[in-house]
This record gives sequence, structure tokens and C-alpha cells, in this order.
Amino acid sequence: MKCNINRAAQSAPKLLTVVALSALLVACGGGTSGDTTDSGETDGFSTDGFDNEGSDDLGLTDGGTDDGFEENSLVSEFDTDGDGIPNEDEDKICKGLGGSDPGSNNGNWDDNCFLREDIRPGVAEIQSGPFYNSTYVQGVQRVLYCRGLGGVEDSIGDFADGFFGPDTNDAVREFQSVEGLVVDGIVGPGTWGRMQVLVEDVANVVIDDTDNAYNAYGISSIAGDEINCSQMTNFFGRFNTDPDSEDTFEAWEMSVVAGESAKGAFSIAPPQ
Amino acid sequence: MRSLTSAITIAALGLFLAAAIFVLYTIFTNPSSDGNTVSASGANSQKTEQVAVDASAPEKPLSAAEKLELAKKSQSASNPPDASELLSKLTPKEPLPEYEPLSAYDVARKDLKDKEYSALVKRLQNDPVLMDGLLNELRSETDAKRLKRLVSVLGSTGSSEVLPVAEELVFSSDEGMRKSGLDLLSRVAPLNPEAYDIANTILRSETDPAILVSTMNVLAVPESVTPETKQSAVAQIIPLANHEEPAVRRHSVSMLVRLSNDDSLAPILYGALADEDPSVRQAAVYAYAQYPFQSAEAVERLFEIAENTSEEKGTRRAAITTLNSMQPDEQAKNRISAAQKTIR
Repeated sequence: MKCNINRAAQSAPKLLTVVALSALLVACGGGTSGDTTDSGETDGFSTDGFDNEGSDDLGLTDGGTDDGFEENSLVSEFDTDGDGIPNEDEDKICKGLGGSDPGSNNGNWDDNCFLREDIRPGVAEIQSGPFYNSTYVQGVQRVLYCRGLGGVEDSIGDFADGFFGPDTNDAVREFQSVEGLVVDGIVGPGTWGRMQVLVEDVANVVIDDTDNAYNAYGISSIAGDEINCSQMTNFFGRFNTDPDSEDTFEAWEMSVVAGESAKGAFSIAPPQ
Repeated sequence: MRSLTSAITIAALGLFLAAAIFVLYTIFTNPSSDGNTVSASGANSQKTEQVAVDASAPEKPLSAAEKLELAKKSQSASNPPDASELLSKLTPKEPLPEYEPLSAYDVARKDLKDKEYSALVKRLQNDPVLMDGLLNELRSETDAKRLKRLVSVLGSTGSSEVLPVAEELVFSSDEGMRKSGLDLLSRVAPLNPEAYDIANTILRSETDPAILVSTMNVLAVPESVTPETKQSAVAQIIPLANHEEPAVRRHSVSMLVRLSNDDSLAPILYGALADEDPSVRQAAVYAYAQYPFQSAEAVERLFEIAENTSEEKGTRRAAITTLNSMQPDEQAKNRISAAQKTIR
């Protein structure tokens, strides 16, 4: 709403002018802060970028489908578990969100699920991307840390928390630049492939387990760098132990804690 | 009784009139109510006071840059608050702690953790004074680490406001600044198609291999680009597939399949599979995973790469990934499996 105070003053008798101006003041918000934006914020701070508690301006839409779910809901009949993945894609590798290895038995590190911040058109601002909180991200972060790209964090455990945030995005971009890859901040097939080489370069020990055999892997470090992860067990390659068949690679796993022997998933599942 | 009512009414009107005059006087004489400030002057009472004091001296209203300069001078005399600590306490449901824009301005020069970083980016998206300040910093920053951080923070806003400064940098004479400008462009490009036009302009005449590579990175996520812009970029990049620098050839191969799936690219990609440089071969192998026109000759060459024990492991594995993505028949699956076993 535009408020032209001078025009109102010229068009009314003096007393009415005061009343009219007072009314205009109320209509215009009555403040003197000069805050010309209308963000819906009422927390006493001007456009600080944070919605007030209880704010319902999620900016979400379910596409206007008449699905019985209210607008501004992420849940629709196409996504009944509300995880943002359409039902028809739930069973696909990477749930239909990137990935180029449909025949994979996880032999190629992962299924090449794309890890990224979400900067797609239609997204109002940069947000967390698919699988932003996963052990895939944690594994990628371990490689990044061991290549000297751990940002401000003092330890591999602090940096590799499984969240694909701005620091991870910066580290991925730097990794891509150093390795001569296309710099887009997206962990896609090329970036995954290069990281796998850096892991497989340092197979450490073969571990016999009651059910499976494992190779344990560190991460190749940069020569001369003070961070050296080559002897730190970070990943496991699992093989079958069927005596009647040749050794067959089955899947990648990851140490739950960097350098320790307890094994956990290396997947799109969140870190434990 | 009637006269008493009249007297009360007149008195009430008089009081109302006096109050209204006082309010109007306050509005018209308060220099901070210029209607132009958004968040810098309205962030907290302390800031409002400061702006009022600052604005009393000069005859004309201060520009955003002048306000920043004044704030900078006044803060240099005292110890600035630890903005990093303040920002680290932020969560989306908490009101923003009071802090001067200059503090966040300083924060951009520090190493930030994710939460601090995100809070600063949100602040930037809503604080044009801070945005102007950081963009000005970007123009003159010489420290490589701080420059990277500024590019990162400003790029994370996704704001079109960074485009003019990014463009200014990419056409400067300093190679480092040009790369910084291109890095900034590549970060905001997915939300700002104008960035692709700038990149296309550079590709038309650029000869420096490193700049060519950085420029192609701007085109890396062309999801919001028109077909015409993509076509224009492809036309610029096709000749680069024969560039003498392997890095340029490698990037051009990767970019072509991101921008087009035209069958005219087939000879370029097929040729790149046999490039003398391993990184170009690897880029071509990955490109085939995205390219729909896979000739029998190209598939055979992918098999040769997968089976070649002299080829780099990463390239062989990439070939296996690509072959797997082509829905192989049983015979092909067996051949892929055999190749895979020789990699480990």
C-alpha cells in the first residue's frame, strides 16, 4: 500500500487533515523505522531472514493437485511417506534422484547417487539437497578431510558429520577444481569415481569375519600434508566367503567412527 | 449537562489534536524515517541511534557505502563484538541477536562453521547494506583465502545482485580476480540465467586455457537455461574439443553432453574416447553415460577401455559404470563382469 501524506493534507480541512493523517499513519503501520519490506516478521527485528515461530509462510506447494492434502504441504498422494520422493521412485536406485549405475551391486563405491546442495530452479533459495544427511555424505566428507579440505574443523569426526552443508559444498568444489573435474559442487559419477580411486589406493588389511571377508581401506593423503589418513580405517570392502565360489565383491561399508573397526552402512541412510 | 458534555468533547479533541501534531512533528523531523532503509537501520535500537547521530552531520542522506564506512570507523575505536560467537547461537526459531552489520561484515573474513555460514547467508539475503559492503570488499580483496570465502558466501545467496560485480571481475585484467568472478558466476548461475550469457560472451574470444576451463564451469548446471542459450554455448564449445590443452578438451567433452544430446556430437565423443590424454578419455567415458546416441563402435571402444589393464583404474571403472547404464544383454553383462574382476 502506498501512502502519499502530502496529497491527503491538501484535500481536507485542517482538523480533518489531522484525523485523516492519523488514520493514514495507522494504515501505513504507524512506525518510524522506515522498514519498507513486508516479510511477515513480528519478532522485533527487521527482516532478519528468520521466520517468526509459528509462521506458516513455508512457500511450499504440492502443485495444486486436488489430492485432499492442503496446499503448502509437502505430502501428496504421490508421496505418501512425505520424504519428498514420489512413490513411483521410492524403489529406484537413488530414488530417482540422480545415479548412473543401475547395474551396480555397490561394487562402484555407491550407486552414484547425486549429493548436492539444492540450487535447482524453482527452489527459492539454496537448501539441503537429496541425501544431504547420509552416510554417503559422511564418506565423501572423510575423503575431503583427508585431502586437506576440512575447513575449520579440527578433526575428521567433526567435519564428517554426514550433513551436506556449505562447508562441504565448498570442499567438494575445491576437490573438483584440484582434480580437474567439472566444478559444480555436485558429487556425481566423476567425483565419486575419483574419490574411489583415492580410497582403493590404500587397502590396508584383510579382515576375516565369521560371515564375510573384508578389505579395510584408508584414504590416500596428499604427500607432505600433515593430515595423513592412509593408515586410518575408513571404509571396508566386503567379499563373500563361500568356499565353492571365487571371491566376489559384495558391497562397500564404512567404519562407524573413523579409524575404528565397527562397521556401518555406506548408503543414503542417515548416520547413526 | 449538555455544556459539560461539550466541554469534555472539546477537551478530548484538543488532546487528540495535540497528540496528532506531536506525532506528525516527530515523523517529519526524524532523519531515520527516510523510507529507504530496510534492515540496517531497523535492526535494533542501538543501530537506529547510531544512524541518527551519523545523519545529523552531513547535509544529504548517507549512502549505504558511506554508512558502512562510518560504522567501520566507529567500530575500529572499540573492540567489535565476537560476531562469530553470536551467529553460532542462532537457530531459525530464535530471534536474531543484536549485532551490527559490520560484525557480520567481519565474519565474512573468518572461517565459519555451517550454522554460522547459513545464518550469515540468510542475513545477506535480507540486508542490502551488508550485501553492498561485501560486494565492495570483493572488488578489492587481495588475500586469496578471504577472497574465496567472500565468493562462497556471496554465491550462496543465489542473488542476482552479485552479477554486476562478478561481470566486472571476469573482464578485469587480473587472472586471479577473473577466476574469482567466474567462480562467483558459477555459484549463482543455476538461479540466474544471465550468468550463462556472460559465460557465452567470454567463450567467444577467450584464449587463456585456465579461463576457458573456469568459464565452462559456469555452464555446468544448465537447468534453467533456454534452448537458444544452450545452443549458443554448444557452438562455442565444440571447437574447444580440439584445443591443444588437455584440460580444455576434457572440460569441453563434459560440458557438451550437459548442454545437448544432439547426434552431431557423436564424432566428437567417439574421438575423445581415443584421446591421448587419460583425463579426456575418462571424461568421454562418463559423457557416454548421459548421451543417447551410442553406436556399436563406441560401445566396443568402451569395452576396450574397460578391459585394458594398462588403462587407469578410474577410467576402466567409469567405462564399466557407463556400460552398465546401457542396459546390457547377458553376453555383455558377462563381459563387463569379467572386466570388473581384473580391476581389483
